[in-house]
Amino acid sequence: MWIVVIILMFAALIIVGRLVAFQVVQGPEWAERAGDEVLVIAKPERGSIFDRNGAVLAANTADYQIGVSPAWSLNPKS
Amino acid sequence: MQQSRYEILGVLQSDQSFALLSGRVSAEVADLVRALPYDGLQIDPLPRRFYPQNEMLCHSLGYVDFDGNGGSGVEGYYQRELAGEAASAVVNISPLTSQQSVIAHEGADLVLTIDRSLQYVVEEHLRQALQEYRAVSGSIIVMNPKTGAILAMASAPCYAPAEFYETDPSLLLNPAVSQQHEPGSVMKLITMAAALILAW
Repeated sequence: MWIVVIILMFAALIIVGRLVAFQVVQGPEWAERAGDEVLVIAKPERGSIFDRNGAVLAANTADYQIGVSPAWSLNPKS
Repeated sequence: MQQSRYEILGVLQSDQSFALLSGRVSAEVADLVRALPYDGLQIDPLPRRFYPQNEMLCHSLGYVDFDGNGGSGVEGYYQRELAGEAASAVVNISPLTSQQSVIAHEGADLVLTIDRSLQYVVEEHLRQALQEYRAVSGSIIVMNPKTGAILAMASAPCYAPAEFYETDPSLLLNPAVSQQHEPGSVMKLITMAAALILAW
């Protein structure tokens, strides 16, 4: 019975030790690596539609969306 | 842009890290905005479908909504092939590691058996016929009897696929293929065929 308790305590100590090592000691290193990572989503362009002689029946163009980042802009005048 | 200067000024002076100044604007407005002396404006393209033939072949082509999903016509039927597949991955952008490229499966182009010039002529005839007989609607289909290829398919009333959001949904169905009609004289072919088979 006592042996089981000792083994469990030992296991718990190892787990806590690894956690400390992972988060506290190596923490900044992982955070830096995560900061370099970005989720890239590549969206494909829709195919065009042609008639039998190659005339374009449907194609792609773009509308625009205008955004601004006021917190990051350097000149407060508009 | 249709917004009060006061509103825009308020946003510009705020502390937000990002704010949208407008919804979809056309390319001309975007060019005008790009020419403004204020830097720090982000002008992002939003893809949009356009139809150089305007209303021609509206029913067969269908339309594409602002999310890129096709509806009705071949835009809807071949949605999966036309749209391709997006690819996403978490990629490390630090210059010290090798760069990974995220490649999406491009959308396929679609070639129809429709002949544009023939379609134009057919639509003209349909328009004149509707006027002459004061009809509400009509359809003309031109088909190559040997291959079954559809050379022209015109139905009226039509709509502009580029303005799908303003369209009455009852117009979106292609009457030539999706509506039920009484056979009329076409039935004679079937009775004739039946008679020939029985007499053989």
